Amino acid sequence: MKREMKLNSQQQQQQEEQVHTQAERATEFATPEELLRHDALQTPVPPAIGQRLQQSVSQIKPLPKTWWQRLLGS
Amino acid sequence: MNVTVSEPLPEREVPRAPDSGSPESDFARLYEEHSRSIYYLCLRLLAEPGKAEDATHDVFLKAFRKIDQFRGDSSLKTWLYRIAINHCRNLQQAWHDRHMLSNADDVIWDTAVSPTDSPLRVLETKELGQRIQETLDKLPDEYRLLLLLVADQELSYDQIGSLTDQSADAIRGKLHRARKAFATHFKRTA
Repeated sequence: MKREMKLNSQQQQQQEEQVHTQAERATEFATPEELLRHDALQTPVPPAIGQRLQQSVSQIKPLPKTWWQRLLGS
Repeated sequence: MNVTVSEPLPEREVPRAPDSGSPESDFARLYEEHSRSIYYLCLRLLAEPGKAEDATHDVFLKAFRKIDQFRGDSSLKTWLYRIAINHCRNLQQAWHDRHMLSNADDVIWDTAVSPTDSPLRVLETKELGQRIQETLDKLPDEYRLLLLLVADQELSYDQIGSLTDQSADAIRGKLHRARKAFATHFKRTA
């Protein structure tokens, strides 16, 4: 019984710590745009897209270099 | 609004063409620079990662094929955004999976209780994307797109106006109502 109470006490303490930690990490965003900006930074681009794209592009007849050089200044 | 926040993810690996200066390597640079913003736009407009993945691939492939049609009177980013917006709109129309509101300005947002000046508080990172998506899905298409474009700090109001066929002043006016609508719905997702 005592042991159970002790465990409950420990659990309660852990829960309190978690709540405290969450409260500390709470972030406020002044506008939806800020929230979306943050979300965008947290959202990784799936690597599969780049791989698929590379395959797709390699199947297309090469474009004249000058278009890309002109546009991208390379 | 409560959500948990963690550090931004590291930059993803981007496939690079071996030789610099070729059309493919220049295209890899273009992809590296803009894929995050285009993928995020597609994700939030289409609401499904799988669809967003396909759409992002198709947008960049279209850009690669149509680069000769780029006249240079807008930035490359704006041009890519335009392709992405049109592509997502076509997909949405085809799928009939969006609830459309004909006139975003008519509806409840002007009288909504939630103020725009109260901060959006975030506590749980895990659910943030889900809550954002849920909120965006409830907004009229026009507001959803507007907020996503304004979130990109590299776009000016003029550029956003050009992408959405309206003036910069109209953007400012609608943005206020879009923020209000977002805040109202986001708080309900807590």
